[in-house]
Amino acid sequence: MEKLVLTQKMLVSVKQSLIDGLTIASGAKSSATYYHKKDEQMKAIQTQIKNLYKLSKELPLIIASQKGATGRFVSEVLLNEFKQTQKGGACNIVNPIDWYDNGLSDKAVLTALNNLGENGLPYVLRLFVDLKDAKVNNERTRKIVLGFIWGQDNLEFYAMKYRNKIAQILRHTYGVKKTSILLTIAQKQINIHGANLVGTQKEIGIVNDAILKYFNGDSIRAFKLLLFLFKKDDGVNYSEAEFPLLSEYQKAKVNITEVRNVPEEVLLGLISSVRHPQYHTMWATDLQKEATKAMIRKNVKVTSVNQQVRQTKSTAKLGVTKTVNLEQATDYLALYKTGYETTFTPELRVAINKLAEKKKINGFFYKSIGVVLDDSASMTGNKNESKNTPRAIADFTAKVLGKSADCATFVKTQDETTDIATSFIELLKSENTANPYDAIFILTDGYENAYDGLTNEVIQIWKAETGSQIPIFQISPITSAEMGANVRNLGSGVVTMAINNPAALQPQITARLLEIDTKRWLENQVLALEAAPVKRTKKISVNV
Amino acid sequence: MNTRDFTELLKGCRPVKDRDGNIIVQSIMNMQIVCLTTDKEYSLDSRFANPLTSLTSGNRSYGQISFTNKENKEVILPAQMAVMTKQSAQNHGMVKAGYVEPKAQTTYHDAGCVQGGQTGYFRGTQEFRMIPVTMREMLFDAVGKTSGHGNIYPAIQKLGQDTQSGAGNYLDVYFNKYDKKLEQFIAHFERPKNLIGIIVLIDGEIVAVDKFPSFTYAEQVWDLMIRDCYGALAIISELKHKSNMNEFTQAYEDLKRSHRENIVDLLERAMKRAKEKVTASVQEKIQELLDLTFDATLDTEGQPSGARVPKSYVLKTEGYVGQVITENEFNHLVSVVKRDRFDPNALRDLNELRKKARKQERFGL
Repeated sequence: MEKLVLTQKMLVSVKQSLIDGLTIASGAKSSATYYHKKDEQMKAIQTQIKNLYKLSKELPLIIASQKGATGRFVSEVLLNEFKQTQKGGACNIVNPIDWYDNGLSDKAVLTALNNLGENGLPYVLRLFVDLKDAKVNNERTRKIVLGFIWGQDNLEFYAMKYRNKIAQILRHTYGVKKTSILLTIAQKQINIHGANLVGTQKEIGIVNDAILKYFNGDSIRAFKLLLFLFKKDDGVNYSEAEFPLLSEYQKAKVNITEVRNVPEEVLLGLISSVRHPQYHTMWATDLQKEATKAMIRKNVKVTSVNQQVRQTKSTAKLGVTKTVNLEQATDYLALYKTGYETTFTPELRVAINKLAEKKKINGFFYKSIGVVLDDSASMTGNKNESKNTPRAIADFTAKVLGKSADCATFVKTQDETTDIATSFIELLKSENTANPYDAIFILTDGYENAYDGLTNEVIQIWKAETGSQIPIFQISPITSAEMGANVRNLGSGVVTMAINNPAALQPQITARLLEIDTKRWLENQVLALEAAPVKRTKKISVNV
Repeated sequence: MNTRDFTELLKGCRPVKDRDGNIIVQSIMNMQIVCLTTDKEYSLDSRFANPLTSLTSGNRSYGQISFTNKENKEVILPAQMAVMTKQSAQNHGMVKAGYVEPKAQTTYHDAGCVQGGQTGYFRGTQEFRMIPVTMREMLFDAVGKTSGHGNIYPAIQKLGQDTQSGAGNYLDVYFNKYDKKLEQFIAHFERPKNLIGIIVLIDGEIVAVDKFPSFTYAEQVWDLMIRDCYGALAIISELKHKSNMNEFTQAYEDLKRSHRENIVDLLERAMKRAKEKVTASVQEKIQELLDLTFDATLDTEGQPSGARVPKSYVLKTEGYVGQVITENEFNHLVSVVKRDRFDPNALRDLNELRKKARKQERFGL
């Protein structure tokens, strides 16, 4: 890579935008907060991304590639990127030769896409559906979408679980005409019963270009999956050996009682159709519905542990006893929300503790920390859309912080309103003089009620009187629409950062270091992108 | 006409306090709110239905609003609700609180238009908002006035001037201009559990007091009260460039001069002192109201007249005006507001004189 082309003049604005961008990326969620509705949150995020893009087109992608960036943020960055032409927008940080000709642009997009995938496949599929809604279907986008979908190792399962969504995406990507051609070829090919592709040169070219270039498997398997996705699978044989999941799905179309490997929502979809042979005996009345739901909940074995945790309340309501190995759960939100909604059983506490241990930040910069945890009403999130989410993020982050530092002291706000200032003083009183704090973390949404600015007054006086230089971080589990999707700041003496997951903590703290040498930080990020082992297609050549 | 003491109106209520016994005062700029709570037995949670979801409203002529209660529970209308509809109809507002029996309809003829030139009647709508608290005084003064439909116009014009929104006779102009700001304003206050009432102060003076029928009811109307009703006060404060208090810094500076202890201990003492000072100040203001006695006039316009239903009284005293919905001496809803031109110092002088008078011995030789 050539040196960065960033000028000194631009460095100042890039620096601030980067800091703001990282905060927004780590906290931006589409869900509503205690105070703001979903569309207000979304609008704020989109505006911030557009501003970053205007400054320099690489900025949003660099930020979206950071660990801990929220799915919503990455999704919006990619949507914005795909909407632009590949060479549109100003490239003010990286040399355009590197960005375009040496493939950095592609790597940045794919790294961000993989980052999005880590939030869960539905995030990526939602992005691809958004592409359809935004009428985006340029060549680069097409190749990336097809590479991602056909390159999935577990495509059989995804095809079953997200059948309609994937079909919708493929139809948009291929176009109606090409989809029809591909389906006709697929139907013709599976009747030929041969492993090799037989057809005219043109047909082979189309199939190769549209599917096989991206798919890791033989053409007949690809055709069968394609026919299944587009519901043209009547008469197609899905053998148990070749398609263990789809073969069970075919059985479920007739009888759902013994099905174990088809997702619950798919089974519910099948049985709720009046055309299903068991509809009148298993779904026609409310009583039958409840009994069927309970049976399905009991039988299905392919429900992830995280989903099982989230289902705790409804499982109990259905009268099903299901033992869930909580310690296998990786979704802390599911664990906490189950705790808030039911109760924190000893098993749940152990599972949370172990998960926090797993997620602890290795090589954490600070050894002795003080943590103030805001436990006021506003931390419960918006009633309808994100109940308890901010509270769960803050509680778990506090736990992870505790595990990451050698010594941690915690203070929770006591009253229902947010009085952080009093808790801050309490924290100072609890400080062990032999092992003073290296850093103080205040976990709050930033909405002070006692009176706005009180905490800042206390911090300012304390810093001035003691000459203390220790950093005070305000970690917010939410970003606020009225702050332009940024964090509502407690005051000038605190460094703000937003996080949706403790994984975002270390990158954010590191990001603060970028204030010291922004150019070096950017250089490192671009080098990391350059070294990323990502490709548009997992399969490079196809033997036809 | 009979009288009601302020102490009687808020009987059973007490301010929400922190663990040290200080009144919790939430504030933004020069505006503060103190939340009131009560014992669980005085919160009639199961008796009344949600006013925002149980009622539909309509009208057949200008200056009136009918409310239909679809629930099998009684409904108490919060003070001065407005119907701001997207229907091709004229928005209307209530000048008072009201009461609707279960599965019944009530029509108030002393309502008023809040959207000057617009024509048309609305029906079956639940598009309710609250009228800003700064309009309350003029609206309470219009209770029972059933001639015409212009009861609320003067108050909207005043609101337009105070908030620089140029509202004229159109309340929606004010809301359209400030809606986003009002939404943000909600963020500054948190509703404590078991809320039964709210006291609002501006520049340390009590300007409004609301008491609700139950904890549930208070939760149902909280957002609307904060955003639509009290929000106007914050907007006016912002326009006047009013700023936050800095009680803590002042308390710290005072203590620093006379104490030489550890800095953290000093901070703790300063915090304690700042809170005590705020508590004392609020207590003093509430104390001043305790001597108030209101003239209570029975309000019959639109209110159901059955012997066993709650009664509505309009409350008036020097400097304050309001309404109470009461039943067998149990006050379900109280809404009181300070008159804009009233200087509480006058009340202070009056109270001072009263106290002196009480101390004086009767004439004798």
